[in-house]
Amino acid sequence: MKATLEAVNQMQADGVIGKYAIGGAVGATFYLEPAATFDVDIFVTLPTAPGGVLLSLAPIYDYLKARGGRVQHEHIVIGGWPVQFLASNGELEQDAVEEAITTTVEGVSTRVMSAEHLVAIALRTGRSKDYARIVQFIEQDAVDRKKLRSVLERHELISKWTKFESAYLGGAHG
Amino acid sequence: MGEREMRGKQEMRKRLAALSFSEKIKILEKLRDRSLAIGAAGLRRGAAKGPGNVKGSSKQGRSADVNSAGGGKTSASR
Repeated sequence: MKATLEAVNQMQADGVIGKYAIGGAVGATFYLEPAATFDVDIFVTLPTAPGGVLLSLAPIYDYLKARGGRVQHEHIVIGGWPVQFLASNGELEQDAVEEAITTTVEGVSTRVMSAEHLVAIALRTGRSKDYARIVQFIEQDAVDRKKLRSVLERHELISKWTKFESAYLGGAHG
Repeated sequence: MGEREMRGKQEMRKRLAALSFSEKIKILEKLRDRSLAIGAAGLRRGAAKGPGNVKGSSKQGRSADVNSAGGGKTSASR
């Protein structure tokens, strides 16, 4: 993972990506017990072309392929880890990248989404494994409930949260 | 599962959650390597084609109704 993050940081330093944050299962592992996963989800802000046009993810793949990265389905393998880059186009993802927490992995600086943003994105994505992860966050008291509510309100997820609460948390949380 | 075992399991989860991010990442790497080895040995259904088989092609814009969720493939991510 160290080599993976060094490559991502270098890519940022070279201006290929803007800010980034680790999300998904690896991001959740920052707050919870480790859970088996095969890839790393990295949400990135992309530099904009003149006129404010958003660029595609293609330069990321070109950059990494030129440095030994190997494309594997929707991932690119860097430092032994398949990485999926996700453009933070939506407001929730932009917010999550902006408010990410800076930490280190084996001495390498990196950024991880806040627990509340991970929960909000999992709620919106809505697969069964996302819901299972949200339950873990709640059971382990790994989220700031006030901050979570604020994120959910800001991104119009309150109604979905209410349904989730009543289905999985007995309606007593959030 | 008895109450004692349940408490023990919760304690273990707390201990694991309290590890540093670097330590947790090392555990993730071991878990991943083990899963891949099991998959390569053909012991896990659907794992023969590698990681691409485990997760979908896109994480964004794939939404299911809260009411229809439940059960499902959670073991790979927990």
